[in-house]
Amino acid sequence: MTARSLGWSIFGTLMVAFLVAPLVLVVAFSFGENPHATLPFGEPTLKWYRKLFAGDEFWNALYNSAVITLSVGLLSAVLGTAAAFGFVALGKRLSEAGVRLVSLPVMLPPLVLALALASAFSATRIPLGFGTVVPSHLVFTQPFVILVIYARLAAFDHALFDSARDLGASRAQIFLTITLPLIAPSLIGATLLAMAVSLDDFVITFFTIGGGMTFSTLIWGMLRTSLDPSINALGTLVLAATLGLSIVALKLTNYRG
Amino acid sequence: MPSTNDAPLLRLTGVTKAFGSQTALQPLDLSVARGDFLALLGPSGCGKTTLLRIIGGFLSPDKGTVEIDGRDITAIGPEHRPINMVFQGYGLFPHMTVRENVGYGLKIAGHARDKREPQVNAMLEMMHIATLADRLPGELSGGQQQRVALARALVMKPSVLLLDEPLAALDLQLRKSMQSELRNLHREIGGTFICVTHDQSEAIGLANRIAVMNAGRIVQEGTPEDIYKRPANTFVAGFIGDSNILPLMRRSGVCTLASNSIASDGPDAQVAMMVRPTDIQLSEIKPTADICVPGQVADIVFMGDHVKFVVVIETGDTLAVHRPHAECDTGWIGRGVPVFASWSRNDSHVLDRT
Repeated sequence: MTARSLGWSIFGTLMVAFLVAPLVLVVAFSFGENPHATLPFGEPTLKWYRKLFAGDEFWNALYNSAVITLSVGLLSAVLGTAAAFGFVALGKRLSEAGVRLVSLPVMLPPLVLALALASAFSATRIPLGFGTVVPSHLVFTQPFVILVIYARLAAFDHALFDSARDLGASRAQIFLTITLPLIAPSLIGATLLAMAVSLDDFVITFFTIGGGMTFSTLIWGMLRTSLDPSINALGTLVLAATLGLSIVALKLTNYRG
Repeated sequence: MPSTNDAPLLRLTGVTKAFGSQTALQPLDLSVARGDFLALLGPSGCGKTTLLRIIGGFLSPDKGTVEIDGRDITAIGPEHRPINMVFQGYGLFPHMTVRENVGYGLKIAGHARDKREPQVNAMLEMMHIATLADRLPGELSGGQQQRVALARALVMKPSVLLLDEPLAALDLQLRKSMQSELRNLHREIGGTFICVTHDQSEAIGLANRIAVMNAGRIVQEGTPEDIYKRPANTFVAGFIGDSNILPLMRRSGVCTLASNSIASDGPDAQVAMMVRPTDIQLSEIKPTADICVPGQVADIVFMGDHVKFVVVIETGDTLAVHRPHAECDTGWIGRGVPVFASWSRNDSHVLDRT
């Protein structure tokens, strides 16, 4: 190994360490006795998890996050698929412009999007709650489903549908026997991705939820009142859920870079 | 099988179709008899695929009617027509095995598994794909995919089977063997087939009737022999087989080509004489023939099974002449040599120019 390539290897290792170390620390502190979340870790323990699970706040947040994440996942899947079908039917030029337009929210700074949504809800006097968080999340989770399903549908050989029709299938039968089985892996993958993004989100949730707490807003709340490792325990759980969803999603959609 | 009368199985009357301002089909009539193998032949954009899709029910005509066995099916969708189609690219369902692909139509029609299995198996046997039954389409070669597509359509026992460029996706060797197989299949099951192709040799090799199409019209319909030997106009003559087309003027029932006067009935007009390259003789001294034109050999090309002579005749036109090798070996003929090109009146046709 030359000095030069050794140098790059060290640089690369340091970069990765820099990126991963905070995550590793969050997880490590959650299992350590030390109540200040500082080094040394102290004896290994599950007491911070026990503390976390003992409070009502955690269970409320779990319930809220579950309701929001699952609703967002389900609605993204249904609406995103419907939208993708609509776009495909529009023809190439219109549909590409349309897909780009609905993808805009993903590129906007979340704070701007959150502010816009919150102002819109307040201007129209819609009370904040699940009814505002879920549609707000849809704004930036749906594009994932639309993009993935649109790309899948656009690559379909039209002779598939013609053949099925020729063999006697109705529109509903074509959807159930041909289209759905073929888009299913992409659809499940895109939905899980949408759920991961929704579960992770803090800014938009914070601005649009009103009273309740989700995992992400709970972490923020705990940070202000206490600093013991039960926050780390919660962080570890969210991290595991997000990573799990993303890994399954990427596997199913065959995402390569 | 109903009625043994002579009424056509499929009848199209006054069918027209336009896409926006583009006219795809001019008013068009077509009859197909039971048991026919009809080829719709024409260059791309001539409307042949539009016509096939109208017969299949995937497009509805702007005007006119489509009847099958005397029943008007113009307003009926493809899912309810007794017609099945083999698509270009086959459209096999990639997530279903060969067996599931072939059984799809019967399953949709509500046949229980134990009722459709024997039919599917028989069809797999007939198409020689029984050993591939549990494979997915992605694991098959082009020829095997085509057999699956044929089996999937034929298991529905269609009154008419439509084939869209059935051999276009196959390589040359396979195309030839599939061509004879398709002919045999048609003979064996005695069905009515309609195929679309832009390849004249495929049309001649497959079909017992050919409809030559150009610019949204059927310009000639007949047996392959009819169309080859008696083309209706210069388009058909140029499209089917190799031909020489010499522009002529017809005045008072006579056309003049060099010093030959050729009787031809019809009004005074720009016409053309068509003669096949194999029907022209070349000789050193002036022969006694119906039509004889002096010229000069411009080029000699070895073509494998024959030799092609390019002859520039007195009128300035160029003739392609195909002769056996033996004639080339006699020695007198060579590049730049003056020759007489001659042919019989029976081998040539005076055609309307298109």
